[in-house]
Amino acid sequence: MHQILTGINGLDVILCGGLIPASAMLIEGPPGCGKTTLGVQFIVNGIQQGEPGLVITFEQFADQLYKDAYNYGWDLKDMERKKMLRIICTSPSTIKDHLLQSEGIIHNLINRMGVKRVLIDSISHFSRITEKEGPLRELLFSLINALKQKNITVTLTKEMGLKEEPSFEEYVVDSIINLSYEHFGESRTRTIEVIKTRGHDHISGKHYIKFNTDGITIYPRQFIIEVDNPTPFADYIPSGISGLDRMVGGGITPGTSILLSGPAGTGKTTLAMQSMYNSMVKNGNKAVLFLTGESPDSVLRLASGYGWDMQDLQDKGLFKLVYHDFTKLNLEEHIREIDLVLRELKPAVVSVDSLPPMLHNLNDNSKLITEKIYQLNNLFKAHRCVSFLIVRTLLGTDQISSYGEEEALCDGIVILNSKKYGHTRRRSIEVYKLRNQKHVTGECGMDITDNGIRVFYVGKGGKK
Amino acid sequence: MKDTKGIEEILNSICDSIIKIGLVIFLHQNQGALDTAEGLSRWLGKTEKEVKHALDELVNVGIVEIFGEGPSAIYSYTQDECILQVIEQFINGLSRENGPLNKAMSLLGGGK
Repeated sequence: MHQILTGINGLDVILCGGLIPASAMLIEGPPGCGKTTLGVQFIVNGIQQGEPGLVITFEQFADQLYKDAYNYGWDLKDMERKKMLRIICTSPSTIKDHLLQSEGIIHNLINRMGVKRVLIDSISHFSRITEKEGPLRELLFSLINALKQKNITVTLTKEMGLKEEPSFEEYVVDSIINLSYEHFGESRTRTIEVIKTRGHDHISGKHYIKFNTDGITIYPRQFIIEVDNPTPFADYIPSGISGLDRMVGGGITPGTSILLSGPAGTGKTTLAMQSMYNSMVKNGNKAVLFLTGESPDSVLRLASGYGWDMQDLQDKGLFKLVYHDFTKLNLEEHIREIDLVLRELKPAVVSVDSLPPMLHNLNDNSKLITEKIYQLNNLFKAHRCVSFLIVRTLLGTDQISSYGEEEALCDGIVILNSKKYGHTRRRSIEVYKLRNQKHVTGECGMDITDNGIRVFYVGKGGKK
Repeated sequence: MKDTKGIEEILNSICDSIIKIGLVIFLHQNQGALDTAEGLSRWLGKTEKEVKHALDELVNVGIVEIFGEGPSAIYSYTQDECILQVIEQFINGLSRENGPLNKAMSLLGGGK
């Protein structure tokens, strides 16, 4: 089935390829959720693809639309000057009278411009003609068909409350998009949901949307990660910590996700940093540290204390420290940002320090947490990175992860711990799990020295 | 180049009516407007009768075009570039601090 791209970031993904040409899409939602912006963006993207557009507005002044659109970099006035766009401020009865005639000023305009996309904003105003559902349904059906017969793809907006039963308009159109608000803790965010598509599939569920400087961006909940020609790293990526590498048979297979777990102060950040540093300095690989909790300065100071000049590696383009304020980013957006960094740098080793802040807005929803960790792991696998996902556990407990979901989803689990013996603490490291790789089980002693982590595993005939 | 002198005279003459000024400004800012007298009266927040009267005068001077007749006749703004340029200058003049628009607005209790 041939589909046309809406051109709206992420929308074509959740519409599984876009819209069917000469179809009708209803955008419904409460006030302020972005219906008009999404509709205008659909028209603008059509114009950018050489498809002239028509906006029929029953309420908003064209002048206001020009101003709003200009904030997203869309110069609607210029598009009108170039005869690629026409914004008609009019009344429902005028549209009814003139669009349903086989000839007339609106038909002439559509023919003259070669209009391919139309936005009607909003069909709620047709109730000014009649309140009766039967005639309204007939009117809408006729209007849509009049435009479809001209091979025009139509978008219609409709105002609705936060909770409303399906209405007759939903039966008349080919696809329905619902915009709404969701509460995450104290904050409110906009979401989009495809309710129906005729003739093609769509990704169900609510997806997060954001108003960016270039319009609306949709962050699909499940996006398929495709990485062309992933970097061909060596068979194993060593951590450079000799005892640990001996425990896992030389290093970690590229694409393996490791849950790095342990109470505060047991060396999780240090171990991840040391592995990244060694991989860069000894093997010429690249590495990225995604920070969500720790501040960049404190992490760089920590590394500097061990003699690892991460700033120098960053200047040389081998290392990247990416700090995301998790309170300002939605998870889908966060994962997208990570993907962009991986595509740009192509690192062999990455670390997320730490995982729980990334998942904070999932409100302990175990299904969503599982989905997101799975998605994150798939992202790192697609890029063939060894990934360390850091989680802090409680001292003196058998807890391995923060949510109880991570251990099943990650390929490996490395637990760092410390136990009190008399007046001293002894540190330990345990490779609890490592899928498809032989490894030494059980706790081994380790220490954090001035030069970093040292693991006391000797192995057969080896030395410390 | 068209002789715009006549248009300028007409534009100056419409300053006698707030409705006509309001219509010209509305149509100039929303050049794709296409509606009946009743519809345009809603956009302007005026009565249909006074808007219809003003529209007819603007049709006569070529600033507004009319399609059809009777209550379902629809009106649209001129697409004549020459007239549009003159109206642009006219509106800019109206908007000046001591221009007639501000005077009219102050009489109405508003400001610009």
